Amino acid sequence: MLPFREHSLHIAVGETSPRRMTIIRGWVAVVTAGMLITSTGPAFASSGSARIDDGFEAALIVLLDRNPGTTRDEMIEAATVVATESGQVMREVIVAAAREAEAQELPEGGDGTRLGVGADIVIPASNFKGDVFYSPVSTLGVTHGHSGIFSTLQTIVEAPGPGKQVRNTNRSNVKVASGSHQQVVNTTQAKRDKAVTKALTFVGRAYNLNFAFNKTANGAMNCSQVVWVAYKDGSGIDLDANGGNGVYPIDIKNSSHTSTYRIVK
Amino acid sequence: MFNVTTSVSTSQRGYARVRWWHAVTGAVAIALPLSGCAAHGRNTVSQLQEVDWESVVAVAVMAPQASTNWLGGGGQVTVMNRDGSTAVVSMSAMDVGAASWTNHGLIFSDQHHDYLIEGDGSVSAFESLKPDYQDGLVSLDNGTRVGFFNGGYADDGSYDEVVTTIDHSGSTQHRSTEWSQVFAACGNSAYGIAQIIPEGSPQHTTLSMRILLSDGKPADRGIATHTSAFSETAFAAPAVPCLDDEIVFISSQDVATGSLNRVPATDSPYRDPDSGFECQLVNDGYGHLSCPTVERWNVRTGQRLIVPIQTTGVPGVDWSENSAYLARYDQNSLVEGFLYWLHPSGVLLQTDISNGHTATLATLPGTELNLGDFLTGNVDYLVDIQDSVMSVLRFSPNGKGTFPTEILSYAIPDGALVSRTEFPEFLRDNSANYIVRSIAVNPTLTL
Repeated sequence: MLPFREHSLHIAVGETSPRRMTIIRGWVAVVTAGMLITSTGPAFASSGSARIDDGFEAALIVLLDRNPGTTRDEMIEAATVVATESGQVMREVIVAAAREAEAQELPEGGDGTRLGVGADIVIPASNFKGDVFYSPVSTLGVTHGHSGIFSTLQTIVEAPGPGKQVRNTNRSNVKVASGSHQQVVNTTQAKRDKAVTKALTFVGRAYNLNFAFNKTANGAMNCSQVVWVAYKDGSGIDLDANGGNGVYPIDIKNSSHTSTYRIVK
Repeated sequence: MFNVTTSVSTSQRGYARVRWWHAVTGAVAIALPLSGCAAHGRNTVSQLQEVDWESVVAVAVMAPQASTNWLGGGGQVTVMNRDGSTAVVSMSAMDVGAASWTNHGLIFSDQHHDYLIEGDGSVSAFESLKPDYQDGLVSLDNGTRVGFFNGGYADDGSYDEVVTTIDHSGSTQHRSTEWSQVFAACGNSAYGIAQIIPEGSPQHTTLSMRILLSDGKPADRGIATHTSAFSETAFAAPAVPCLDDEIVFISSQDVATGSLNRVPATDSPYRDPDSGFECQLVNDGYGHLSCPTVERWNVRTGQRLIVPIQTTGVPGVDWSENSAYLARYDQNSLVEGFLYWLHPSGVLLQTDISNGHTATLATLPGTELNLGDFLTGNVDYLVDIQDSVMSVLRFSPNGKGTFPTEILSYAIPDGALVSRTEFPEFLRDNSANYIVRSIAVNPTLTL
C-alpha cells in the first residue's frame, strides 16, 4: 500500500464559490488516486501537476470556471503551447489570461468569457492562387495569429492547430477574425502556383508544436511553417520578415514580399 | 426513458493514420484515462438517452474551429425542443460536423463514434475512428447514411477521404483517393465531385465525378472529368440533390479579367467571348468577377450542364462574391424541377434548373434591414428540408446579432410560413468557441 497524503491547496482568492471548491476537491481526488495507483515515491511532482504558487492556482481555477469541459491538464497544455509560441513563461500566460478573463464583460446571452474566439467571419475568396492570409486569433488572451495559403481562389491549405492535421478545405468552412489580412505574394503567378503545389504535399501532416525552429519541410508542420516552406521550397521566396530559426504568422504578414489587398471586417 | 442499445462495431478499415499521429502528438492529445474515446462515447450515449425525442424539433451540430481553438475542447449537439428549450449533448469534436434525420433515424458523428437514434428512441454508438473534419453526409434511399471525412494525403501520396456507411446494424469504412467537395446520393449509390489539381500545374485544375458507393457497396472510381467553364469553378456542399440520375448543385464560375478597370454592372448579363456563355456577373469590387450557376451532372452519361442563375428583379437579393458559395440547401432541395435554396441575403429562392430563372419563395422577416451577406450582418443561417417544408435556423454566431435564435419553416412551393419557434437559450448553452455547422429537423414532428 503506497503512502497516502492529503495536500491542501492554498488559493489566493477572496472567496471561493462552492463550485470552485468542488473543482479543487475533485482535482485533489484525481491526483491522490494517481499517487495510489501509479506512484512509487513522491509522485506529486511526477503527476504532471504544477507546483503550487500563490496566484497561479487561483488563476487556473478562474480559467477552468470560464471554460467548462476543459480539464486542468488541457488548460496547462494549451498555455504551454501559447507560451512557447509567444516566448513567455507558461505561468505568466495563465495569470494574464485569468486577469483578462475576469476583466471581460460577459456577452449578452453568453455564458462565459470568450478566451479563444474572435474568428466569426467567413474568409472571402482570394484574388490569386497562392495568396496568403493572416488572422489575428488568440488563445488565453495571447494573439498567436493564424496563417494559411489559398490552393485555389476558393480553397485553403492550413495547419489548423494542435492535434490537427494539415487540411485542404473549402474557404466557406474557414472563419477568420475581424482585422484579418488577405495578401498577395509579390511574384509571378507561376511561382505562386509552384508554392501551391508544394503546400498541397503537406496536407495530412501532423501539427508541429514548435514555432521556434520550424523552417523545415520534414515531419509535422504548423500554420506559418506550411506557408513559409511552400514558398521557400516551392519558389525560393523567403516570407519571414525578421529571419531566424522560426517563422510565425505575424512574420509572414509583415514580410516585404507580401502585400495586403483586403482587410476582412 | 427509452430502451438502450449500445452497439460497438469495429470498422472494416480502422483509421490507422489517426492512431499514428495521436501517438506522435501525445503531448497535446491529452490522454487522461477518464477522457478516452470509449468513455466519451458512453457519456454521449448516456446524455442521448435522457432526451425526450418526441419533443425535439431539431438538433444543431457544433464544434470548435480547429484553427482558433487550442484548448482542445470537444463538440456538442444542441437539442432544440418544441417548447423552445434546449439541451446540450457533448461528444468529441468533429469540425464541420453534419447531421441527418430521416424516417430511418437521426445520425451524426464525432471522431470516435457514429451515433444513431432510431424512431423508438433507442440509441446506438458505433466505434468508428476517423479524421475529425467532415466533408459531407448524404442519405441513401434505403435509409443508410454515408459520411465523408477529410484525412489529407496518405503516405502513398494518394488522398485519404474516409467514407463511412451507417445503418442500424453498424458502421463500416472504406477510402476514396480523391478529395471531393460535393456529395450526393442517387438511389443507393453515393457520388462525389472532386477538384483535381495536377501536381506542378494547378492552373489545369479539372473536375471529376466519382462514384463512392455503388448500390451500397464500397467504390472509388472516376466517372467523368470536365474542365471549368471559365478560369475556375467553385463549389462546396455537404449534401446536394440527385433526381433522375442528375446531381444538382450551386456553383460559381470565375471570370479572369486581369484588370481592375473593367467593372461591368452586376445586373447586366455577361457573355464570355470565348465560350459564348452568358451569365449574371458579380463583382467583388477588387476586380474579381464571377457568375453564379446551377450545375447538373448526369451520373449515367457523365454529361455536365451549367445553367446561369438569373435573379434580376428579385427583391432583396444582394450578390457578393460569397453568395453562391454560401448558399444553403440540402439533398431534399430539388422539387419538381425547382431548386429551393437560401440566399445569404435572407431570401428563400426557387430556381428553375432548366433555365436558371429564379423567383422568391419567401423572405425572412427582418431582411428589409439589408444586412447583406450574413457574414457582415452578424447572422448565420442553416437549412434543412423535410417533406416539402424548408426550415431555416437563423442565429447570431457571436451573440451580437439583430435576431433571436429561431427556426422558421416554410411550405414548398407556396412559401407560407408554417411555424416559427424561438430558442432563447441556444447561445447560452453553447461554448463561445463553437461554430454551428449543421441542423437536422425531426421528420416526424408536425410543425
